Amino acid sequence: MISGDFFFYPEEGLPRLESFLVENKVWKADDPEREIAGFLYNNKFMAVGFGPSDLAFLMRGLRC
Amino acid sequence: MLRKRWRVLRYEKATAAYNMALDEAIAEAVAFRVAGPTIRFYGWEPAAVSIGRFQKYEEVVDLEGCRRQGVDVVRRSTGGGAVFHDRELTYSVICPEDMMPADINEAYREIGGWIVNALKLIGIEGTFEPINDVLVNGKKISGSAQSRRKGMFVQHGTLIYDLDRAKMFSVLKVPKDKLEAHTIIDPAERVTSVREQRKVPWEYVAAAMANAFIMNREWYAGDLTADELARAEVIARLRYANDEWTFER
Repeated sequence: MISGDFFFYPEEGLPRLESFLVENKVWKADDPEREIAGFLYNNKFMAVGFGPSDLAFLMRGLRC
Repeated sequence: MLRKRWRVLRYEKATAAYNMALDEAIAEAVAFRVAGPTIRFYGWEPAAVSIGRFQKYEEVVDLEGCRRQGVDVVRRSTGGGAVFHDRELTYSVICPEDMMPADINEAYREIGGWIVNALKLIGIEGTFEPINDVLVNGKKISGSAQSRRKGMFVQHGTLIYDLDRAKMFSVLKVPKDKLEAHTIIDPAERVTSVREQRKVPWEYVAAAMANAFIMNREWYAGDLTADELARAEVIARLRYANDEWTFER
């Protein structure tokens, strides 16, 4: 579950991003940042307060 | 005319759950075009902590401290951080999305500008600080949170009138990463209030906010409809006063 004091538009999109990350095991992708940015762009989702690179950084930690 | 003329609601106090539900009920009414774009000013009774839509409550709010002091806790539908609402003036701007800048950051800047103007009217120099804050002498005096859903724009935010730091930080927990990100160690020193800057009576502040928000806009002093009030009761019961919603994260 992604939590914090960020904004996500529309708000209902965040659970979909969470599902996308888990179902596609994005942390195993060659380029998690590109995967996340593509998902946000394709769904017209917008995050304010964090970006794909922040999530990708966390994802890379899950590889260990 | 209904679409462009702003309905301005008079200041009222309510519980946290009802306050949040009322914003949502108004947004529904505006979406269904039974109400025009609306500016609302309100307060909190009892005092309350509102937490952002995506925050983990146990990380940001001291529930025991809240219970001990009779402070409500509510989860907002908007993102952002936890806020202690006590002696403050809260506002909502609710309108069709096309009445505000399409860019989210620009919309924050626009309404932030209204708050800066309100402060100017009472002799306080404020500055808008992206993403969503207004600062005075480098300290936060106002914060806002915006939502865009189904073509509707809702932004609510606060202007701190007076500050009880001890109470504020007995109900809020400051996340460790926030402490590390700021150079001032004491989070209580990162906020200020109108009263700390100038001894301005509450009525002047309320009038300044109203004047700044209606500046260069067509408006009228309106009331909530019976349908909005009834719908707010339902939304409060089902969502904002419901522990499943409040403690969902």
